[in-house]
Formats: sequence, structure tokens, C-alpha cells
Amino acid sequence: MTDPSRRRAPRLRLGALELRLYLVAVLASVYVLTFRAVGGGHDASTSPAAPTAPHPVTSLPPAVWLDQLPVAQRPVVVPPPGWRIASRGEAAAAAPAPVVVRAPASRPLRVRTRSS
Amino acid sequence: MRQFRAMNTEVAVAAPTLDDAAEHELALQIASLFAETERRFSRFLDDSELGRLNRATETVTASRELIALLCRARRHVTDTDGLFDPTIGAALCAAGYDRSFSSGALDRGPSTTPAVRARFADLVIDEQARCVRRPSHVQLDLGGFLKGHTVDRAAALAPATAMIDAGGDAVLRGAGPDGAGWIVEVEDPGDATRVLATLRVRDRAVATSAPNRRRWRAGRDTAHHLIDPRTGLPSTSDLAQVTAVAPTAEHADVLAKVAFLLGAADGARFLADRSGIGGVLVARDGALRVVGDLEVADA
Repeated sequence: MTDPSRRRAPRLRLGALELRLYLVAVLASVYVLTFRAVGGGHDASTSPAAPTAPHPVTSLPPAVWLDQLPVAQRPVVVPPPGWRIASRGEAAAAAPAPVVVRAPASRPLRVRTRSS
Repeated sequence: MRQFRAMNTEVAVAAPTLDDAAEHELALQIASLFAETERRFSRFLDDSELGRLNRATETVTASRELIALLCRARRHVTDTDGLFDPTIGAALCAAGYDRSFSSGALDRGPSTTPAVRARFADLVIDEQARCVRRPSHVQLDLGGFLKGHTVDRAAALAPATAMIDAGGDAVLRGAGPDGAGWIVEVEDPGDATRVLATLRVRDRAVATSAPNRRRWRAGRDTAHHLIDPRTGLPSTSDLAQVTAVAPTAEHADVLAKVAFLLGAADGARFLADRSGIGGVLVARDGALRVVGDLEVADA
């Protein structure tokens, strides 16, 4: 037979000081985790170890749209077959090109003109 | 030869001097050009630039391409004393042509919409500011003019010997595969299986106007797409078909349309009086007349 008194878990006895220290540690951990999650870690001023890469924009030469250049200075741009150069401000979605097929061999190499 | 479908018609591209792969590449480029032009300037697409202009209630800023097209159209309007006029869009809708054509799709009861008359001069175009103001009664339809213009642009991409044929509106570059000129067959408007005349054409374009295909029922009557700007109604011309041969497909399309509207006598004179232009006119009674600068191989 087992004595029931032996199976009881040992009671944790904490004093008021220990409890306060425990709470402070938990709150501090929550604060640190929250701070990192919110993004404070990205702030270079609070994170001296963060890399200090040069600002990319200032290092680029001035940019222009092709149609802002004088015609004589525009580079020749040859898009791949089936593609074209869009006008500035034009929506990117282009019309799908029709399906190109080989004409039937029976079709003669001539024009049949008619109203269409 | 390659083919594809665009602008509600079959487009064929042939460049006999190119190898197979190069001809295919050319056809792909031309197909893309047709698709893009249709997307931007079809009156049947709500989100096309022309569709937006046709709905605009105030002055709108237009693309360079649309301004250029309108300026080209204006020159044809002036040259033809207003018989060519792309502001017939509202008249076409009133006649029943209010959606992309397919056989039977436009059939309806008698038209109750009054004829709409508009003039190109009603449109205010500021070329410098690229602005267009459209009075409410004006609806633009670039139709065959746009197709001809696109065929011309496509031909500019092709080598010196090539054929671009958009449903009978064609540019024929060079002297054709046998060096004797490209063969152009003029279809009988009353019987699509018959050929009325065979032409030899080199470095020119051809276009045909006839009411035999784009027609629909309006109650007991039959309506068609060849609107006479003088009345705002489908033409009652005594012609059944006109084929025009001209330096460009755009020009050929305009001339064929105008000659059709003028009728047999005046239409023949109109074509014959123009340098470098030829025409084949077919009257309603089947009479055939060839005028102007043409090489007829068989008629």
C-alpha cells in the first residue's frame, strides 16, 4: 500500500520578494519580445549593430523616361517577338495576341477581296 | 503563309522570301499589332480609348496615336467632302449595329431610334494639347479605316515582297511570288463562290465595300453597315460592291466606301479622276465596270 501523503506534490513556497522578482522577469521578457516584434530592432539609433548600408537612391544617376529624351538620343530598343514598348502611363495589361497558325496548304497565295 | 483572327476577320500574312521561322515571327508581330490596335480603338470595347472617348461628357486628353488617327481621318473627310466620316457611330447604333458583328446577332424588330446625323467638324480636336471634345450626338467609329490603317502598319514591318490580307483589305508589297504581280480576285457580292474579275497588283493596296456581309434584319427591312453621312441611314446606293486599289489600304478603304455611297455613275467618276487609283464597281444588276489605273488579268 502506498501512503497517500507521499504522493502529494511538494509545495512551492515563495516569499513576497521572490514573487516580485519572478513577475519583473516575466514582464521584462514580454517587453523585449514585444519591442522586437513591433520593429524597434530596425531602428538604427537604438541598434548600433545594425548595418549602415549607403542609401541606394542617391547613388544612382538621374533617370528619364525614353520619351523624355530627344528622338535622336533614344536608344534603339527591340522587344522580343510578340512584345511591344508601352506608352508611358499605359496600363501594363496588354491584349493577348491572337493565335497564329499556318494557313491551310489549300489556300492559294492570292487575295480574295470582299467586304468584311 | 500564316493566319490569325483579329478585328472580327481573318488576317493572312505571307512573305515568300522569308524562311518558315521568320515568316512565323513576322506574323506574331503583326498579330500583336492588330490585337493592340483593336484593344485601344475598337468602339465595341468599353475600356478602349475610343470607348472612353465615346462616353466622355467633357474634354478628354487623348493619346498621341488617337490624335494622329483623328487627324488622318480629318484629311479624308476633307478630301471626300464629308462622304467619309467616322462620326457615324451613333447612326450605326441607331440602325442596329451596336455590338460586334456576327451573323444573326443584330437581327431585331423595326428600328424606333431616329436617324442620327453627325459631322466630323462637330468634333473639337486640339492637336497641340492633345485634347478632344465630343458633342453628345457624336460617336466615333473608326471601323474599316482603322483596319486599313493597321494593315498599312503591318505591311511596314514586312519585307519587300509580302502580302498582308485582312479579310480582303490587303497590302501587296513587291511583284508577288511569280514576279508578275499579286493576284487579287474580286468576289461576286451575290455569290461568294464566284470571282468577277482578277487583277494583278504590285506595291499597292486593295479594299472592298459592300453591304452583303454586315447586314441584319430590322423588322421586315434589312439594314447594313454602310451609313451615308448625308442622311444618317444605311446607304441606298445603286451599287452592290466597290473595290478600290490605292497606294495604301487606309486610302483604298476610304475610296471604296465613298465610291459606294456616290453610286454607279458618280462613284466611277470619283475613282477615275484620281491619279494612281483604280476601281472595280459592281452594280446591283450585276453590271461590272473597271475604272482608273488597274491591270486586269481576267474579267
